[in-house]
Amino acid sequence: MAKIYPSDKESKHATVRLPKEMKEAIEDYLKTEDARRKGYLHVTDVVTAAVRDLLEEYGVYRPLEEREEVAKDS
Amino acid sequence: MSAPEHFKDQLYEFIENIDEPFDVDFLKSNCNIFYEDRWFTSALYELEDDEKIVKLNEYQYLPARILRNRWINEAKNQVKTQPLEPSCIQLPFDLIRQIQDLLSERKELGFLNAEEFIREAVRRLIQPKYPTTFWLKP
Repeated sequence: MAKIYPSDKESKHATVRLPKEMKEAIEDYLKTEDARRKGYLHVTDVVTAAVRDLLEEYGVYRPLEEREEVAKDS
Repeated sequence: MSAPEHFKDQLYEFIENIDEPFDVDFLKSNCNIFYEDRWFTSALYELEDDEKIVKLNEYQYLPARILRNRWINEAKNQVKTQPLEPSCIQLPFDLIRQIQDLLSERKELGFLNAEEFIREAVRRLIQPKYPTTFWLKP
């Protein structure tokens, strides 16, 4: 019997569009030793890491635990 | 206008809309008055020189206009069948929300939307690895 997922369940992911060439460049990068060493397995891993790096650079990104602590305190 | 020039013009008027390859024999058989082969070959040579017709092989020609139209139609079909679709990936909502918060708070950064921010982030991460890749240049 097919498993039925609740339709009203909020999605935790959003779809983002990247240029095809950019995705191909990421896929090429995934084949490198550097990517393997850093544990990147999928395109999403690289994009997520890139976004976190840039958010951190702008002083925005905080790790999940830290954000949860802030939420509890408030 | 000299006779060869007049002949050339008349010939082009006839072949202008032929959409299949033709040769001298075909032209001769469709001409009301008898002309020697050299009239046709000479006129065709000049039309080819004027880029009005294209020589396909030793004997056959096709009007350049027809070839151009065919090429345009093929290119149009290719675009229709292979649209330049961007690739989609899934990212955590939480991360997107943080980007959107940052962009609304700091408009001076100049990012128009979250996708632009993400593309810039990827560029910065990958750029040191591929410094010569063309799309990474601003």
